[in-house]
Amino acid sequence: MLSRRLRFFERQWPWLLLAFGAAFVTLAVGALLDFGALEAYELFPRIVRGYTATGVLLGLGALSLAAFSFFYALRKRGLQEHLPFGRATMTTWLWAHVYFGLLAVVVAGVHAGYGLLSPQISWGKAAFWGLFAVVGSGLVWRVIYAFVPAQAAREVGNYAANTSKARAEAVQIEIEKLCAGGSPRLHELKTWLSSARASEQAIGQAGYSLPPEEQLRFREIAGLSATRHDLLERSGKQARYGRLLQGMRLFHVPLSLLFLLAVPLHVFFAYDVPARALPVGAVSGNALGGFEHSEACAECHQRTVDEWRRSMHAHGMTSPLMVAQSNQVYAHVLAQARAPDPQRICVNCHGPLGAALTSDPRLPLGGDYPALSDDALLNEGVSCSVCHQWAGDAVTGGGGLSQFQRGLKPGHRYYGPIQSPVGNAFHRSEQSALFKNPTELCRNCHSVQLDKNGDGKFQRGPDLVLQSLFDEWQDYRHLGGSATCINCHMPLLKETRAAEQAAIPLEQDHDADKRATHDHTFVATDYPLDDPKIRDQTRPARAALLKRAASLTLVDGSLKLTRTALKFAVEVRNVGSGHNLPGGFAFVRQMWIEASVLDASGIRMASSGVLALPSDDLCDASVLDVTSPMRPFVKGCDVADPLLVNFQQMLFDVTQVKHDSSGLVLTDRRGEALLEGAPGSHEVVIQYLTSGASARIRPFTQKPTAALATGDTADFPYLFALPAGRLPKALRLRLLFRTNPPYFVRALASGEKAPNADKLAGLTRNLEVNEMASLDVGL
Amino acid sequence: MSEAEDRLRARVEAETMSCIGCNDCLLACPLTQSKHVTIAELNGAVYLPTIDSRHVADFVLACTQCKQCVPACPADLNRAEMVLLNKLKVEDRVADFELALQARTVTFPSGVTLDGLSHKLAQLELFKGASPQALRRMILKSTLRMLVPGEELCHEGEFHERLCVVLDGSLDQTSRGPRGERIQILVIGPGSFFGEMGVLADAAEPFGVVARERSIVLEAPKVAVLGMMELSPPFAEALQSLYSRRALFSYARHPAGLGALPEPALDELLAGAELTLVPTGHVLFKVGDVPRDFYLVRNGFLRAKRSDAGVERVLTYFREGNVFGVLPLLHRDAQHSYTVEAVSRAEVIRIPGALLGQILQRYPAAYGSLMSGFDAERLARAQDVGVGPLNPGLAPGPTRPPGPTAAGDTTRAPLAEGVLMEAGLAAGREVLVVDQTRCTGCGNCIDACERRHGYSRLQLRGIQVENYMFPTACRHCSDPACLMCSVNGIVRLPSGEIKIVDDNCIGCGACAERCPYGNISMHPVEKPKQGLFVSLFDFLAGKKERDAALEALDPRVQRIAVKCDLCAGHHDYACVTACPVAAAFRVDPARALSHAPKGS
Repeated sequence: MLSRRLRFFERQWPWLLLAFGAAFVTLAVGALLDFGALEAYELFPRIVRGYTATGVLLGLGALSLAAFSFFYALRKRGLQEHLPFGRATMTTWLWAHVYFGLLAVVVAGVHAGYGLLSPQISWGKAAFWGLFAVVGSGLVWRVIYAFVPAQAAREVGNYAANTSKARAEAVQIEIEKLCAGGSPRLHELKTWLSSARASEQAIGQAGYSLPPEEQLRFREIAGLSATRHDLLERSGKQARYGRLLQGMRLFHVPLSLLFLLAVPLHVFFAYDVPARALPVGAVSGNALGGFEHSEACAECHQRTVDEWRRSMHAHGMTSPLMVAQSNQVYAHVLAQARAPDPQRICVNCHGPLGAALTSDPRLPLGGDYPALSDDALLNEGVSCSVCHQWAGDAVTGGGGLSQFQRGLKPGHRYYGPIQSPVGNAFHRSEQSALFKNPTELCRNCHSVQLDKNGDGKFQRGPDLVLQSLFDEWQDYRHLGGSATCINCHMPLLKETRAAEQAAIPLEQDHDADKRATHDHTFVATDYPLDDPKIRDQTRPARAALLKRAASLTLVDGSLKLTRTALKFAVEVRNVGSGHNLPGGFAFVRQMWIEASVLDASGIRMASSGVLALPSDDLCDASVLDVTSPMRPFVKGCDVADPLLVNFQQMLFDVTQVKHDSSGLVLTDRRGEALLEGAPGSHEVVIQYLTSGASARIRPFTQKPTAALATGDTADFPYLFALPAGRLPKALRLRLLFRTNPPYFVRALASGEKAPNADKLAGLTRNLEVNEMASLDVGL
Repeated sequence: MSEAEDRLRARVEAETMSCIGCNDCLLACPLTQSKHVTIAELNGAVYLPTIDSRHVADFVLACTQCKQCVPACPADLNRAEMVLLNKLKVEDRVADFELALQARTVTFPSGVTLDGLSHKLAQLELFKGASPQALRRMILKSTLRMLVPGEELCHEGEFHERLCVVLDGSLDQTSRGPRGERIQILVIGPGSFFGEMGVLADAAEPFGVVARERSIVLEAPKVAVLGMMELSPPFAEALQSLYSRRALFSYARHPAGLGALPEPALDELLAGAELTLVPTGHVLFKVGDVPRDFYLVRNGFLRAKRSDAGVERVLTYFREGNVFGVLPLLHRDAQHSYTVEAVSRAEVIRIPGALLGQILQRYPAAYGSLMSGFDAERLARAQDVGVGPLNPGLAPGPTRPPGPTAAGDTTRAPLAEGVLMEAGLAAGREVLVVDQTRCTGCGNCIDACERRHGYSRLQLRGIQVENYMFPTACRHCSDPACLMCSVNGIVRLPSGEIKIVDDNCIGCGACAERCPYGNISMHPVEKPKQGLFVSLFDFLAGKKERDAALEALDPRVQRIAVKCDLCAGHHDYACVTACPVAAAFRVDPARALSHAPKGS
């Protein structure tokens, strides 16, 4: 009869159509993305997640829709009277509120995509499920609005509970008036009627207990009491209906506020705002979520992380030798150097992340604020983030300088070689040019040089050059070598999944194309001296690498056997390595020739470079020299071996450029100046800014035993005096390798305090000797 | 001085002698001027030929006759009449002066003096018998307006509470055609008047008025006209008579009324007709009365009822345009079979039955046309009619829908219409309705009202009919009882909205008392909000203490009337716009119920 003619947008169906149409389009876009239908366009990768361009757009869309929906609440309150626009009725706004809210959930769902499926807790999920709960409670509320009022209208008419109560009170006053001056029994019955509803029969019976003149009054009181009970009952129902209709406010409004709180936090963390806004290391010792522990990576990349844990990269900051040497270098040398460069030159490469996040380079690293310091992350060495969250400009030897840290990109964007990464629950994968030629990453640290004079060049002598591995590899390439660091040190694996532990679709959106995976053990010659288990695990790979690095041959026609002597010459050639042999810090790599002359029963008649135990020292004349500070640390050897061929370089505290007799600078094959210990210098076990490595002099030939550049050959003549009466039957030659000279370890340990000194010295027990090549010659 | 004024003086002098001088009446007075006079001064002024005291003159001129003083008098005297008498004295002492002429928004000297105009008006037929003093008083409250050619003085359907007298020039009376075109009805020349519908019947202007040439019009406000009618009975009779003739003319010719009669017959019929104002509850005729006259409803609502086995049953309702009492005459019934009484204040045109008989004798062909009409009365005469007992379900709460009757729905009048009429809702023009099948009790409407107006003028309680609640919000009645405000504190806008003019309201509360639906409430006036610096200066100046001292002297809080004004000045109704489920809306019940039998 009486009705309000609804305007077009006051009706439900236009909004319903609009919302469902928009939801369909949004879902279709999500489906197209997920099936890779738009993959041909760079802007639309096959990733349905919030961080893609489409995802960001959808997120903004969801936010706009939610904001529009929230606008209803503001209009409902103060804005209604003051807004110059959107002057529609609240009926229109309520439908807009409902359907924009629903649409916001759909759009937010497509925005989040597979991100909704992972079990990890995040503010994004909190925001989505918060929105879901808001919209859900709102829908329930709207359904209540749709059905309850009609029922309430039938039952109680309206919600004026107070009016009903007031009328009940008015009726009660009328009852009191009627009772005024009545008998005690009448008052008693009034109280009885007021307390509860009475049946007609009971009222009739009660009436008989009154005097006749009060019976009529009592009937009237009974009638009013019934009316009062009706009114009170109605008032209660009205209040209950009121609570039912508006009760959802208790859920809807607080949930909305939670959503409002969750959204900025989601954006805040999705965009890694703390990590992006604050410079790396702004909060000393903490990455503020910008870098992850390797444990986090292991959730999906378990195999890779396990490999990495066996690598020396994982022990870069925890190896006892490294810790001792780094701290001693700092204490004796770098503490007095300029900060940050070169003061932190060691830790910058051994633990770039830790170095970036801390100011004190002493190991183990710790932040300035212990409560905030993430020590485990600081001391992870060359961890996943160092390579996969680095996007700087590669500079040979640049890793030792603080500029390297500028390339670290905190956040959730991880770089790699894969062109079409699959979406995952943890990070955004992005292809990086650095990984197309990954040697670029290696060059940062695997050349240890310091341009001391600032002329932009690294020259032995004026500059500090302790390791030139990358330059050596470039020589190898110039000579026609084709291998890269990756070929030897990160060989291809049979595995075809990079994230083999990632559950599909909870952690990885869908199965990826077959991937070429590389070994992250970074196999080389080193192994953690304090972990024999890893040493044993990695031995086969290390041994294989060493085996193909060099060859050992007898120089044709050099073998001459007499009754008293055996004379021959051995040729050692760097055949399989893309850099010098020994490479890296060549002053701690012992590569030597073990030569044994055997009789018919295989008993050694004469020898050179033979060790009784792997922890015994070589009888190198330079070490056993009475002036050498290393002599006290030598064990298992008392007399120098003049025939010993030891490729281990000598680390001098002070070096100078070597000249020939005519005064010309002596250079190596690469044209780099050769160094020699300066007058008064000594072999040391820590690096000084004046240090350099120089070849040891072989007493037998009085010639230096330089490291073998790639492809180089060196001949070493031998002359063994044979004992009388015994005939040599065989000559056994072996090229052996040991990562650390025992005396070196002991000398380093001597710089430590007890019990660390003993512990460190005791690590020599874990040293092993690997055979690189061997040769048996029958005599 | 007129007889009415003589009677007033006699009553006042008698009451003055009875006054005990307690001054309670002035304490009850909401006017600030009342603080500067005493009842003794006012009583003394009654016997003075002129009032020279400035305070007394200020007070009596400010008096609005709100009669707040009347219930305060312990001697049960009507001191408002005393003030009125003194007021007339003060007004009569105003010296002659040249009146101002208003042309649109500017004024300039008119060249006409107060006395000159009063003498000129006295020459007009309308004002014959009115004393020059009465005319002077009316002119003092009136406005002289000059209209330029084409200027519209009012639109058809607008509400204006003033009487316009054309003094110079001429104006066109126009009506809107079906396509909105302007149709000229007649030319109003000097000495003619219009606007009596608004003054006497609170009705909308039946025609528009446009100046044909440069014209001068005197606009006398309703209060001034009614005051003069009270003190000049000849003027009252003349105005009423002219008004009746015009009303009859416009309504009886309605095709749905007596329009079936030939033009000469109608003219003859109207010559004997008279316009009658029927107060609420007044019985026009009852069961058993001999049919003598018949009636045409001009406005308001009347109910036809019959007592059935001791229970009074409403048969139907008569509304604007309905004719009743004619079928018993045509059927030559010996007596009326139902009673007709006014549900609200109504105006009916009473036409003698004998005249109808004479006319039908001369125009027998009209008999058939008349017999086939009058559906509303035919419904009342039906045997099986019955819409339930009187006063059904007016209390807040669910109303049981009408049960089926033996004759089915064909002859059953709509229950809701009856209930709306009984509740006085049908008299409203913009009634707020809340559909309880949609209402969720969220209170948005109340909040929106409060936000917009400072106080909520709406409460979600009130009369409920079936599923519709009619909350306590102004209904903007077609016959608003609240408009009797002498300071124009409450006015009806041309659009029909009843609006309280805050600047004029003196907080007397008379309108609130007059509103039959309790929809006007009195609120303390809120102190205007002031900025921090002003508050600081006030604090330093000790304004707080001064205000407290003043409040101790006069603890009455200044009040202001608050009521729904249909959000005058806004483009929408705040309550309706704020309803999120479209449960609240405004209706004109008369229009909404237009499906009911009418125009019979």
